[in-house]
Amino acid sequence: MPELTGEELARLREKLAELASDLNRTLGRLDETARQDYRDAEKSVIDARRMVETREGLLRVG
Amino acid sequence: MRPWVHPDLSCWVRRPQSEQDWAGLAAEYTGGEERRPLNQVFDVAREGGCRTVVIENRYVDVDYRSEFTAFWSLKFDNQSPFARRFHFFAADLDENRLHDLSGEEKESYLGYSIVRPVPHGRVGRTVLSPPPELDGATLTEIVDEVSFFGNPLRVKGVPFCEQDSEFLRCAHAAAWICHYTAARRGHVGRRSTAEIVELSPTALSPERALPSQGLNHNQLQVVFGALDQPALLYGLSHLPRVVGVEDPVSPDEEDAAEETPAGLWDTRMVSIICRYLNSGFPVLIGAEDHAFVLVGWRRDDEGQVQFVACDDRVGPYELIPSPFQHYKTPWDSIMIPLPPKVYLSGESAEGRAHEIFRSFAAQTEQLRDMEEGLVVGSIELRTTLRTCASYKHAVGELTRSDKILRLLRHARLPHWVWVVEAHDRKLCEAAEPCVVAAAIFDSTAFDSEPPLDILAMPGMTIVYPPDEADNVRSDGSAKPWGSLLTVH
Repeated sequence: MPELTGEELARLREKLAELASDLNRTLGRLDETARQDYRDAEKSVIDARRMVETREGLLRVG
Repeated sequence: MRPWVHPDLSCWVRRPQSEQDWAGLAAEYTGGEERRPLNQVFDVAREGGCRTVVIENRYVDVDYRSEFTAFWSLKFDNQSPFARRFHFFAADLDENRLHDLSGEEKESYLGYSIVRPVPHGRVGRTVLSPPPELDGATLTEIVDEVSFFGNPLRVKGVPFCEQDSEFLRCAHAAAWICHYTAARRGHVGRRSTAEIVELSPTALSPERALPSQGLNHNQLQVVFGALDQPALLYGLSHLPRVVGVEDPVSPDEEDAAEETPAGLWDTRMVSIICRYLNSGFPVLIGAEDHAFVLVGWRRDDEGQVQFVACDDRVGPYELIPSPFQHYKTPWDSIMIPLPPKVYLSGESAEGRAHEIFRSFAAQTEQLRDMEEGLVVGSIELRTTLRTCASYKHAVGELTRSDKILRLLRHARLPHWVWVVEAHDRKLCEAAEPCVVAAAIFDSTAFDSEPPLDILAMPGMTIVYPPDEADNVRSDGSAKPWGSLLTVH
């Protein structure tokens, strides 16, 4: 990130405070494609542990 | 009694110097026909500069004695109930002064290895300092305290033990390594190796319990549950996607008759494993008929990730240059025993943090570079599980602002938190402070849209308290700060 002037830093903080005050709204403003990508990835995390293959689950190690 | 216990001596001293001396010492216990984990134990001690080996006679080892009671004592022609404990020192110890070591001699302690009087699987509980080759690696180390004839000694290293092929199999040895690490950190109470065998449910296997044929994943999960370390299980065939981590491409054509096992190509396993190793948790790998434990990682000269393993067929501190070029490739599964209330996965925490960082950056003119970096990968996320206490302690080293330190240390957080850092790769490579954003998540949250506890962005840190209280903010520097991680 480039070095910020005092004025730029003040504007940055003002904007961050606004975004932080309503997190859901801030996340909801991300473009639709990106939001869907995050939801798909999140689903893959939840599915990953449900979909351990029978072969993998039943392997005997010893 | 077999001639294993010397009736007149508490210990004896050996001073192996040449490779031949060390091989000779190992051969006294292994027969010397082929390389065994005991040879690896000796190699580690030797690389650490070992000059004196003190062999403690008639050692009553809690683990071996539990194995003896549960199994070996029941045999017609059984073993000795005593073990031997090998102590390794980098100093030349005076044999007549072992009862009163100097401070320097105590400092030269490299660790210990218990040797069992059994035909296969000589190496019992072992904790050795890592070899110098692993300086700077991330390791799931513990500190063990030893009484050496009344001299208190300390060793920092990762625990190791070998299977004996009859009572303990590789799965038990691997479970024990994960368990001993947790016990020494105070997460759980200490259980003996025989207790771990006893916790293995026979009903989940068609085989008789003894001699043991190993454990399946269901049995391992029951064992870890009973040890208060329920394990996350990932099958390599269905690894999760995390935004910001490169999606690998299967080498198979669309109409391929047979799938290439994911253990041969799915690079996502590397980031999953590193999340937990960075957090200090050993990672159990299941590969066909074998289990072993990853206990660390480092980068090679070209920046590629190499793993460090404790494999009971190999010994402690095995360096694995790549998970795709290992004698057990392809790996099948990843199991990580964790504290019971860590419900949130590292992958969900990291994905959510990426979404939050990107949302903030996309809507802030001064942070457009950050948004681009997150999209193109010049900014990468690193995720670790920490206790709230260790996180609050560590932030004291990372912030120069007393206001922010006060805000973070007074934040109401759960016992375990996921910490996600956004790293500017160029700054990492230049060994400069490289963290440009960080997010903290409650480990008891669910994997779907986990709520944020703390967000640190350039110029501002924000705490989101529980109980729907208003967020609390503090201004800070817009400059990058240091990472909690050793290697990243």
